[in-house]
Amino acid sequence: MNDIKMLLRLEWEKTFWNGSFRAIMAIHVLLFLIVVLVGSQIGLNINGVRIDKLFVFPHVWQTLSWIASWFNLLLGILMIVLVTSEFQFRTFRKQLIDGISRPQLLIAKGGVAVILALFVVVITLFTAITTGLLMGNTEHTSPFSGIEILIVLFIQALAYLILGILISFSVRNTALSILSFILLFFPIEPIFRAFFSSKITAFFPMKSISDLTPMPDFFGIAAGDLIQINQQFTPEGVAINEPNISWISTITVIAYITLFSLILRTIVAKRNF
Amino acid sequence: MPTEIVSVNSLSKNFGSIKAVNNVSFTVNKGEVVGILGPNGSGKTTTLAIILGVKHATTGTYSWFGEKGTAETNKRIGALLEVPHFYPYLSLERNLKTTALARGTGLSDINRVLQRVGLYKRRKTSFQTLSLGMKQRLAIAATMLGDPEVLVLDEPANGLDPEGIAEIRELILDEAKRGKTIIMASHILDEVEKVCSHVVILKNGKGLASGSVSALLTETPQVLVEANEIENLISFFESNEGYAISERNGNHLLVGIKDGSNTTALNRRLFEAGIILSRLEPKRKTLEEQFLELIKKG
Repeated sequence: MNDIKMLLRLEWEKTFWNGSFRAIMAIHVLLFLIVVLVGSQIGLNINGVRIDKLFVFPHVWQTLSWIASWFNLLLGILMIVLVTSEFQFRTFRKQLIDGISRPQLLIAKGGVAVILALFVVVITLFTAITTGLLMGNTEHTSPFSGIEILIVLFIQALAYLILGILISFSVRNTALSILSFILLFFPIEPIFRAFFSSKITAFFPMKSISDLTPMPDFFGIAAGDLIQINQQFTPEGVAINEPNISWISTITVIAYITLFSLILRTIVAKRNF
Repeated sequence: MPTEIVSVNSLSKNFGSIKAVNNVSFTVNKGEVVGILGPNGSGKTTTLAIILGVKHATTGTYSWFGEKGTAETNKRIGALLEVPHFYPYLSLERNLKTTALARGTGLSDINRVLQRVGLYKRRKTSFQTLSLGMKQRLAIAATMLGDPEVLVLDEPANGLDPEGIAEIRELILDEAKRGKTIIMASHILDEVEKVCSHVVILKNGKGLASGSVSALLTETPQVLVEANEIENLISFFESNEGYAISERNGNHLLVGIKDGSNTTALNRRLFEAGIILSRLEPKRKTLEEQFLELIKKG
């Protein structure tokens, strides 16, 4: 436990003053808040349903998780920058010489990944509560119904970050790692997916990771609205609005996180620094 | 019985078909100042990288303090490998903080080591603003954090000006006087001769020689002889076993005495052969001469 505290303190010392870290974090937070602000205020009207409906309790959980997931790719890139810069500065080598073990190098970066994933959840939680309170609760369900999607968001962010670490330790070069990371999502995996049926492709790594936080069921919400209008708040109308969490995808992604971690452990144990 | 600090046994490292380190063995005991010598590409840094655990040996083993080398044993060693590696955007103080945290030495020693290498006034500036020599000084400061019992210094004089080289030499000698064990890789032979008690000589990844500096230097003593009848002198050395002429310069000859006999015996033999010397002077080889000879042979 003391070791983990030391490793996190060490990571904090070098990460906090890193210019790329500050820039990417600032871009991440600003873009997320701007998208939420603009999305909830433009008042677009699609097929008779106002888009700002997505920002009221309880839909706000899924909507904001979905928006937050757009920026998980950015955090994955941040993770790549943090890991590959250690190769660039040859500071992994220095840490090994100073008495950090190879597994500890990984635990330290894994710790950063967990903290960044928690950060995504916390900022989504607070933004969702604020947005929800400002926008009101038009549904006759608990405002916190569907909040469990934040757990899924955490797992998704963690998967992006651990994948970023895996690519960084395999490729080592910053630009090539970022390129590999983006190309894996598009078009490398989609091309492979074209050869398989959708039952199988759902278990592909990039596909299952992106499927975790689907776009809110806009038409379901719209239909729910119409049913509510026509049928005076039937329970069925409410049922349509349940957030659709794919627990199978969640388990698949947890399996991938474990697999990525095991591959990383082997790579780091064998690598010459 | 000397306490063994590091023991290297038949260490080899291949990079593809290149044998960077080829069956190298040596031992360093407590309190020794050992110079690892060798031309560029002789495997000095690779050998150090292996025993510091950053590279894996292809075959062979090593131990520190009588146990298998691990992250834990590394915490007891202050090491500088190749060029200084620090976070360019962090201040000197913060960079040393990362080293102190990793080594578990506590943070109170940072100012002392910065003062020791003359960088205390620069402690708040970022590493990237330093000159090469200053970076080297910081790296040496980092090795001294927590006053470790062993220092491993790879080319410690790299990038330093003559004054800096002298300062670092003093620093190493000071640490040696305090009983520290120091392993220093270098190709500046003059520095090694001034500082080291023992040497390990490598070429093309192979160990050519190892032992105490004084033993290595007196292995084949040389004498400078001068006589009016220089031709007689040459034929004497050529016809008698145990001598080798290594240099002729006018009436001077530089002769290696292989059997280790002394100048008195030589003088007597020459006199009996009817050769009167006008000069007889024992010559101690410099480490550089001995090194170059070994490298040529190897």
